[in-house]
Amino acid sequence: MKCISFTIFAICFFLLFPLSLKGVSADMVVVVHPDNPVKTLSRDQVVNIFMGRQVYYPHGDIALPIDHPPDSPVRQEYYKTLVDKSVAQVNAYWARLLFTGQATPPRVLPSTRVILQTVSKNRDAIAYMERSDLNDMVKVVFQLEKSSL
Amino acid sequence: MNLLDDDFVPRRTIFEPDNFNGRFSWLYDSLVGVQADAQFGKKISATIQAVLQDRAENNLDESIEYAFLNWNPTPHLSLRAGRLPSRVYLLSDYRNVSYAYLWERPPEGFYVPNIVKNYDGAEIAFTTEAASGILRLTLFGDFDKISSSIANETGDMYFDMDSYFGGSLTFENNMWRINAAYAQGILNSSVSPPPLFQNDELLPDLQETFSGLLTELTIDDDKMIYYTLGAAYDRDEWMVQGELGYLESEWSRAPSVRSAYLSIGKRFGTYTPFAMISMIESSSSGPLTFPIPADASSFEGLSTTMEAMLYAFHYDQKTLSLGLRKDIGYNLALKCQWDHTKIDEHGAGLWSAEISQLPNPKKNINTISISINWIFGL
Repeated sequence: MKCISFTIFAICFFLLFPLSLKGVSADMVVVVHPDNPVKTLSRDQVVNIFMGRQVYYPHGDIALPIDHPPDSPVRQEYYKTLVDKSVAQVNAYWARLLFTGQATPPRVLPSTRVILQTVSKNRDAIAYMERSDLNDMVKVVFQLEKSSL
Repeated sequence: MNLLDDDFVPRRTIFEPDNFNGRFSWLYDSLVGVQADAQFGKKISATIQAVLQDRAENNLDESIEYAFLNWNPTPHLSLRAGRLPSRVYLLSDYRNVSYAYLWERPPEGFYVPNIVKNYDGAEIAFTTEAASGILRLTLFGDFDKISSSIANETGDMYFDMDSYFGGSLTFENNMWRINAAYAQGILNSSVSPPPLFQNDELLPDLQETFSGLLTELTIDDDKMIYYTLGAAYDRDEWMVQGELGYLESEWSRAPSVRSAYLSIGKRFGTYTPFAMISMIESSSSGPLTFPIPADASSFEGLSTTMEAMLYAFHYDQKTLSLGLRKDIGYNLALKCQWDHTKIDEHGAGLWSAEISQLPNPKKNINTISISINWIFGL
């Protein structure tokens, strides 16, 4: 009896707590102005916009990406999760694009509050932030998911 | 800062002077660049970039690297006109932006012989999304001659390239950047002989020999064709990059040049050690097509100078480079690099040396380089 109870307990344990303990939390979001025609963006589209390979939204309007300051933990986490690169690596990448005239890097704004204000006033702007900073002045078009152990 | 263990001096491009003081230089890798960009509405922009560095000619025209207008009539089409960067090689258009790559400088055995760094012309580019990235087809052509000159111990040479056009196909996503390109142009050159030949006392048969030499060295409406294939991989800690190049010309003294490099780097936090091998090899220049008269021995250095002139653009070398990049903050990098170059007999076309040392025997040269790369405005 004890053996059967233990077995049932073990099965329940492993069903409730998978071995890989892989939880997903949607901590960061990509946002645009509420009147921007874009409803959702794919991960590839977000990468291409923030890495300068694509300067237009799918519907043809110009995209104006916005960055947090280089030393911001939000910026560091965003690029680590989005493209698995440090801020220094992203800057080296942008040095190539900028100084060959192919694209200009995202505009840097000093804080999430200023970023929210800018996106809410500019139909072409696109930015990222922590989900907890969201308000109804902007619209979410992509959720950046990260996995944690 | 650069330090050599030999009297042979490297050149960053074949058009640059010897900027070493003996075996030491502060100028070889040093430069300052500035760029201004302007946006006119949503579809038109302008860019101008100037680079200050030690050159054979330092004037405004030489210092303007790029100056062009860009127009995007649709999201997948762009047109540019003005002074544009070459697009033939992976690093063609950003070889001056040291912060953007791992090494002290682009591999010399691959990039130095490239005589087209920019051109006055136009390009059209088509882009489309593919395989989580962007595929770009670019077609380009020049409006105006590309002119350059080289001041050499073996005589000054003047180059004009005309009818320069070509195309490139590039794919880029978060891990890969792949480039295949073709370009061609019509090259003309003239040679201004070294002082030794500007001697009225030269006997008539030597004059005739010298005329024959100039004919051998003159490039007259010879087509030059560039073929390149390159790939760069950047994922997690690894950075791998390599290119193959083939230059084909109608100039009998250098019918073809083969070149290649492969670089591997691995990140350890903010440190990235790397290793690179590069090579360049010209097809054989062959012997002189006419004998040097015995009278030449009465003019000291005459036959040596003639032979050196014939091999001035003959390349045959392999280089092993080991180095380290240290990133500091978000816009500063320290680099150090050791290059070990093995030059084959007569293969020192990428190097500058006293004429008495040319053409060269086999030799090995070691170079130590240390630099600080800083970008601002990002």
